[in-house]
Amino acid sequence: MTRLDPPHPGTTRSSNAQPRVTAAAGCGGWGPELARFGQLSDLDGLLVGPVGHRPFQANEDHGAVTAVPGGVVYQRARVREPHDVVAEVFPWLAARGLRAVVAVRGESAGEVADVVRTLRRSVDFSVVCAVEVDLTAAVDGLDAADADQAALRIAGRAAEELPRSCGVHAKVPVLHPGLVAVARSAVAGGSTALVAAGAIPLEPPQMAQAGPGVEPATIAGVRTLRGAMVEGRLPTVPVIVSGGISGSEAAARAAAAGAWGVQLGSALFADPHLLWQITQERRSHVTAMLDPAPMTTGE
Amino acid sequence: MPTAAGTSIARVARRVQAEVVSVRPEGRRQRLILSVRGSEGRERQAGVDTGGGPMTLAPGQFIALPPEPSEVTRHGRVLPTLAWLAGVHDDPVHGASIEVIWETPDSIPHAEPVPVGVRQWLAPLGRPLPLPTDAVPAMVVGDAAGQGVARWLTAALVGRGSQVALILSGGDPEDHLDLTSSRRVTDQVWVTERGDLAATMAKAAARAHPAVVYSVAPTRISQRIAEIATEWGVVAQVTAFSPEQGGCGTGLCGHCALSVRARGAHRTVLPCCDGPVLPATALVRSG
Repeated sequence: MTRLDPPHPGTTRSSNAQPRVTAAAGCGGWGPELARFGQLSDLDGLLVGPVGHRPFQANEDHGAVTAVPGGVVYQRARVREPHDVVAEVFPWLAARGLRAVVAVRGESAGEVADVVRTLRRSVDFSVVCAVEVDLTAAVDGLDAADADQAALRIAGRAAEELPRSCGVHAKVPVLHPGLVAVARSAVAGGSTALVAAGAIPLEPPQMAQAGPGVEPATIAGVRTLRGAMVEGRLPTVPVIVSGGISGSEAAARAAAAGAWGVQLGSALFADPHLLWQITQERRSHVTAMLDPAPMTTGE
Repeated sequence: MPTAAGTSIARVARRVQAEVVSVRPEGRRQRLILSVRGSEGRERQAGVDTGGGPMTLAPGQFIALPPEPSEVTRHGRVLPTLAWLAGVHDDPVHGASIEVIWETPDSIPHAEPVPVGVRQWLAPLGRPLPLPTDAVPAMVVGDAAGQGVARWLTAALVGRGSQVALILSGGDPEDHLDLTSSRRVTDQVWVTERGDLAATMAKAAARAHPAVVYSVAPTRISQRIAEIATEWGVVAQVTAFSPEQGGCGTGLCGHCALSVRARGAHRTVLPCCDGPVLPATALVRSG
């Protein structure tokens, strides 16, 4: 098996080191929610969002989150207006010396570009180390040919609006039949990392299923992406797994499948402290891989 | 009697090892007493010492019981069970104990059974009800499971010298908690049905002349109480979230998201994190 050592996301487009372990978009709040559970500065970074212009119409027939076997059915998180994020979230992060990945959601390239442009104008934009562009809604229902064009346009417009010091993470749905094509287009558009999203879209469209039950699908998606990289069908970029990671063992399985980073979603509902625990474990894992055995002086 | 609510409120939620040592039926719900592990034999300090330093619990806050790791991995269960805190006892010899109001299958669907053995809880969650610095006449309204919190709050207010009218409402007789315990904390206890709540509040107000109104009730009832208090020109603090609503209890899942009025504009708050206690002005509908 070919061992892949994808470049650190900070070494391609960005000079900012990227967080390996974060919350998933819509599952980690905007900062203050997590601050009650530990030192945010002990984390690799935060992921805040989703940010966008088009809030999903809340489905009053369903709660925002409902327990089902294998996890939860949830309404996709409400987006927050970019002006609101610039006015309230960025200064909060900047005052605490924190940095964050900002998740952006939009259904068209123009919509995403407009959101990113608004964020970019903030005087506190230095808190943003990467922007995660959610392609799942944009490519949902499109065949592979149309989906990769949509991914290219959206990722490309987002990358154009951002400075080179800022990473661009493309969130791609692992259940899409054109997964590799969508991922390839996203990278071609300037994405520096891929986020393999395992949430299962449901009907009505604002609903989705997530939780430990989707872990096999998500990890299979990571393997597909990494396999395509080995075969040269997809440029080698880091893959961040998002979906079904319920604890340390699941994170280790994702890492074994080739994931560079981990996003924790509904697992944080069970225990928010998990974010710190897995951050520490992944750091230890990376350190163990990178650090040579202790040297002896022979005295 | 429960200890009075403290003044320094911890906003940091901790993992607390606790075991259910007593289960008492109250209407269709149960009152559980949790014995906090690691708190025995410690010197008395401000608040409850759970082994990681003192932690102050106060009325209006709630507690979460996360699923055990095996439940997460085997059954995919990720949502915790939430319950109102209804009292705290701190004893340097026997350790700290916490009272909670536990939902049962009779009160909400998918209620979890009473946990067995030492479990890891997450506490405290939420911002508590602020207490006045001076003794003032007050009205406390508790609905259904919120009656346990209202009882605790009333005890804290009476402990500060306030005259308190305690109004207990519910959808039916089984929605009410133990009335005897409530009558021990104040002599002004009013029991009513939800449909008659406004009229009961008016009667109680005519006698008590409250300077502040507290409500521990589901959002729609709290909204009505907020409007009544606003009509009276009385300050009110109300809860905009109830643990029986479900969700994660931490504001991370967005289940509790609520549009409120603040500084003349509508904005979304997460009562699990920003509340559950909100000023009445936030809930009063415009127009």
